[in-house]
Amino acid sequence: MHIAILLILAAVAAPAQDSLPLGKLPPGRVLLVAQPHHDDHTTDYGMGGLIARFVEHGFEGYYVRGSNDEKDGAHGYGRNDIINLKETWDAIRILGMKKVISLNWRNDFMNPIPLDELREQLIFVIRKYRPDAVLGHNPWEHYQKNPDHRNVARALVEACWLAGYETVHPEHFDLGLKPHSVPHYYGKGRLDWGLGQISNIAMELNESQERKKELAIAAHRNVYGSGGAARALSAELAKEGKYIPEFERAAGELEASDMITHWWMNWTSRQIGRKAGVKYAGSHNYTGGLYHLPGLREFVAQNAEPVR
Amino acid sequence: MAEKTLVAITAGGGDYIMGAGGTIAKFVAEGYRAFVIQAGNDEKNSIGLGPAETRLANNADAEKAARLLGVAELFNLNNKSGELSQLSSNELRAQMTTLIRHYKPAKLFIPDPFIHYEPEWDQFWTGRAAEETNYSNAGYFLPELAKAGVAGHGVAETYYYAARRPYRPGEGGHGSAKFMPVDVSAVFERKVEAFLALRTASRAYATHVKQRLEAADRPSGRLRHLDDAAVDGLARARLVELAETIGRKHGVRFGEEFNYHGTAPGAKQSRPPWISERERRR
Repeated sequence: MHIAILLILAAVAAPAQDSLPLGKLPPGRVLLVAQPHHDDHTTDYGMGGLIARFVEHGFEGYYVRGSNDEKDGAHGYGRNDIINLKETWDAIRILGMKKVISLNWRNDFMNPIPLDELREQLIFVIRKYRPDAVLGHNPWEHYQKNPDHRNVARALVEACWLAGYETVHPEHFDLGLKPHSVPHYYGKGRLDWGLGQISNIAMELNESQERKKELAIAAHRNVYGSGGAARALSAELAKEGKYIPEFERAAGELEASDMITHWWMNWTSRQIGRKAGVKYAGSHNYTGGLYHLPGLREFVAQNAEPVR
Repeated sequence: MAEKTLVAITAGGGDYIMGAGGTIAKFVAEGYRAFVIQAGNDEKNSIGLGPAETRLANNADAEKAARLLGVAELFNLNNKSGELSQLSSNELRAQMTTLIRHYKPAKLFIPDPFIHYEPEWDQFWTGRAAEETNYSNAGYFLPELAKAGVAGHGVAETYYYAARRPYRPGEGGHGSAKFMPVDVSAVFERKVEAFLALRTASRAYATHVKQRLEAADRPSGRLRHLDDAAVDGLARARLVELAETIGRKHGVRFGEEFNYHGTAPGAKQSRPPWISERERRR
């Protein structure tokens, strides 16, 4: 999404729920984030803060970029691809993640691709890195206009489940991999096009995690850095006899543009945090654990014992 | 942008009339030029005709119905109806995108791909591709079109419609989308007149209803002989019940309803709160 669009949004979609319970980080040491695009891990309805929180608690983080991002930016397909990939690396370093794995499917043309093939790629990655938690889009989100978001999400949740089956892609085992099912999934949904998703938890962010979230998205300057937008905003305010004090301290229009992006993230985190009674938070649709569906809760309560 | 232009995307020749015909007629009365993009060729909706004859008859009916509603042009993409799931959705999206760039509408009416329990999946596939045109109409998509002089075009307002039933509780109107009822009482007869032009489809519908009633041992005397009056009577009753059911929800006689996403012309555009909380007076 381009920053010029952000500046003219008439209404800003905030999470629909009045309150959200606070979630806790699950145990583990590996985090996998799989999204179609370079910036999906960091956007306002995204999960940059939660990624930073996982990493600060000792998780190794890996980012899977599903598409080649060729259409995001004004530099032509080939250059957009390489610039966006480079900026993905910049962003994940800010968040403390270790690696970007780019699958390079054609950007925004992912509707008719063979989902079994995409799913197999994701199963392979899951078996290789063996994540304890996976973050991705919510495949059930409504009014999601981008086909890449829907398809990567659908393949991903299937992969999280099927990667644990020894009957699925047994050829992987000849390469030394082993089955691995993912116990925790955090979904995101774009809220400004309509329903998006119904979040069921908020994950609190501290000042450091919030700041990393702000910096990570602004690292995608190819699409979010717009000196022109900051200049236009200043001119619009000046006509009303207004100004933004922070802009006067900015080193240039691009820095002012970065500030707008930071403020956008910060505002979103505060809105979600308010619903959870904390300063900053992100909202997510969480599935996982041992008993997110009825059928195991009573059995686990009665029979499971902690490891000593 | 052609400020007073609208495009309605529809799976078959009658779906947009049922779901949004009254609202489109209202806009036409206000001076809008209306264009319709039909995804399917309607080759299967008939009684007693083969696919080619069915297609021909339904297409002629759809042209007439569109004219009666005030539509300037109906463009049929002629994909096989009932088989849209077999079509590359990128291809369908590109077909629609090309025409939207050509017509440059301010308003877009599309089937809602997120309503549940719609047994005719052409509604879904049409709606899904149509919704994606909002995303794919930016200039960076389909640069071959730009090369041919067909530049990108952003549509300001999108009206999602449910073709055959009212929206259900919980559907539509979330986030920055609005659930929008429209009072179509004043133009309802025009909607009915257009719908009754779909004679081939209406006859098929009446035949199926008659068969189902007979199978349930509840035959209707009004459908004993399926002459034009009986077919038209059933088609009208169908539209009246739908419009009254929606109307009752919103306190009007005849209504239509939409999940609306966009910014209407002249609407005040406020700055995002993360900006307004920082702006100061000099």
